[in-house]
Amino acid sequence: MAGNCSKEDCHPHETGCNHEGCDVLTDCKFYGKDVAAKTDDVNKAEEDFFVRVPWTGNTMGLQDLNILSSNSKVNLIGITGAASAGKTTFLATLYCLLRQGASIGDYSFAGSLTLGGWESIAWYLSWKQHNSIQFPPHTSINAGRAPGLLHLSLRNTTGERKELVFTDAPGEWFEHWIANKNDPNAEGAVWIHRNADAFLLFADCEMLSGNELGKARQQTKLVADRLKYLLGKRPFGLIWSKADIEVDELIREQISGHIQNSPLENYREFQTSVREGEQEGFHSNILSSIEWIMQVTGGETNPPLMVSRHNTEDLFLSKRSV
Amino acid sequence: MTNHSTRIMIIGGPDAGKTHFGGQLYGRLNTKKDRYKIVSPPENLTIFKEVLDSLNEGKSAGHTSVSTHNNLDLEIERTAGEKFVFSFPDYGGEQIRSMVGDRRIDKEWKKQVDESTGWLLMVRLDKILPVEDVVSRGLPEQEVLKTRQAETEPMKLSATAFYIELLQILLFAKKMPTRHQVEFPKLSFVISCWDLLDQDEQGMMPRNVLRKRLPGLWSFISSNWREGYWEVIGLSSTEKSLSLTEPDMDYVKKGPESFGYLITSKGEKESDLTQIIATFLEH
Repeated sequence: MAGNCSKEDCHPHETGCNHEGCDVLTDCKFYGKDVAAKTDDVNKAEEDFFVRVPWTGNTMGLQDLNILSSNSKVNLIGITGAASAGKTTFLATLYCLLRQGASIGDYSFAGSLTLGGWESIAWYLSWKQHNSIQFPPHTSINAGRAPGLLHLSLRNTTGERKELVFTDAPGEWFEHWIANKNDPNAEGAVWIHRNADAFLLFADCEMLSGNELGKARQQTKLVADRLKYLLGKRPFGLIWSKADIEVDELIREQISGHIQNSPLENYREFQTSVREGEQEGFHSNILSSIEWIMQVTGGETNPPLMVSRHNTEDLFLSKRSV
Repeated sequence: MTNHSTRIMIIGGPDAGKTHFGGQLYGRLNTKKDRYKIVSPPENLTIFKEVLDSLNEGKSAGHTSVSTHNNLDLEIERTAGEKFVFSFPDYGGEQIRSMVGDRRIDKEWKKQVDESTGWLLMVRLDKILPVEDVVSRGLPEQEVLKTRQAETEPMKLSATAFYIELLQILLFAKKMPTRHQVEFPKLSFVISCWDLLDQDEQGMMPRNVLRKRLPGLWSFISSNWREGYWEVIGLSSTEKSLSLTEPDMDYVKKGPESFGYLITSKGEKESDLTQIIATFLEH
């Protein structure tokens, strides 16, 4: 039970009524029913009636997906790769680009239910007082089984709307996953692999050009192997991150060749960096990679992501909308 | 067409110029020289009293207190005789801030949102500093980055994110689906204190000024509202900055209704402030 609601997964004081969509909580058949003793609380709630919004603005968890997935098809994009490969920085740069008015192909920015989440990773890539700026910190590993989810709404010139959700997961999950698929610490990676509609794998050019070349090359290849298992038609993009740092052509071929040593239906490579570069277009490549995913997944996609309590038969739920 | 149900809700944060606009608009409606006129003076004019007094003395009006939430319905008619209601809410702009901060809408606002058929969002772009991030300003060299100390400054929502969240919350409260582009409520984005923008911006179309200053917000509005159901206009309610204490004699002499102008969505300067209402009645 959460707060005064008898339903376990309803948090009326944070995100409003999740079950019945009641504006006035005391009208709800689940609200305050088994806490009859606390009549004072109920009276108080009646006095200060508020409409609460059902999203927090922060990075979403699985339950938060209800509001999105009950309304439209969600495209889940798995952001994968070893720790410090630049996954979060990629997402932060993507958001900065959209905030500065960039569009993804024909699609432009049409909102997000995780603005606070985006803003906090982008905050690191924004200049602040005292002229300071730095990269986002390490995405911490925690006991969670689902990654932090960042949401984007996009709309094209014909008015069609797309909902994208990106996973922002710690690299350690993938490192555990490489070693042992059944490792309890790899559950998050397994979840991403099972549910994502598309994948981006990050190859860290900085590491691939430095002392840790061997380890970085091995990790990238092994994550790719795991991703390729039961991949099907789902797009698989290789992101050469921090591409402003040069990597030996031989190394590139080793990794690229390894990934393509068995046929892949939808595979492409992109060179990206937080620095735009002179002519390389490292920023526009970030946008292109998402555009490519949208083009490929636009046709055939996974069945809608199953979220607990999402009853597809429920006409009222499907009409609830943001 | 008689349309009694047209209700325009004015949305603006602190210092967005709501009070001055209200006072000036009332003054114009009441002089009955412009296109839109007031049918009969409202019984209770308290919410405009202070600003009308100040402007008539050539001074700037003070800040509206945070907790106020009065409402003044002005019945307005057009030259042709059509009547409708311009619902003028009076509230401290901080309420807008806390709507986004606390992520909830109180009873009074919910009622306003439900009844409104048009939204007039007032923003002072001259007060918003541009975001400087890796896209707009680039990054220093690797070596420089390494010498920098860990940042402790807390995250602050950018203006773009703030206004997008505000509009998302209002649309949710009104239970307006955004799967298809929104036609209702119509949205007028008002760039207030237009006279304080950079000189070159004052020569631009209001829509392009918004696009230049807050491109992400421009994307959000233009992709979620159907073309023809939203617009951007410039507004200078008082035409020049007034002091809270020192009267402007020119103002006192000519009267506040001789000052103030708006820049239509087509970029034309218009001294009839009541024209702002037209945006909600016409396509």
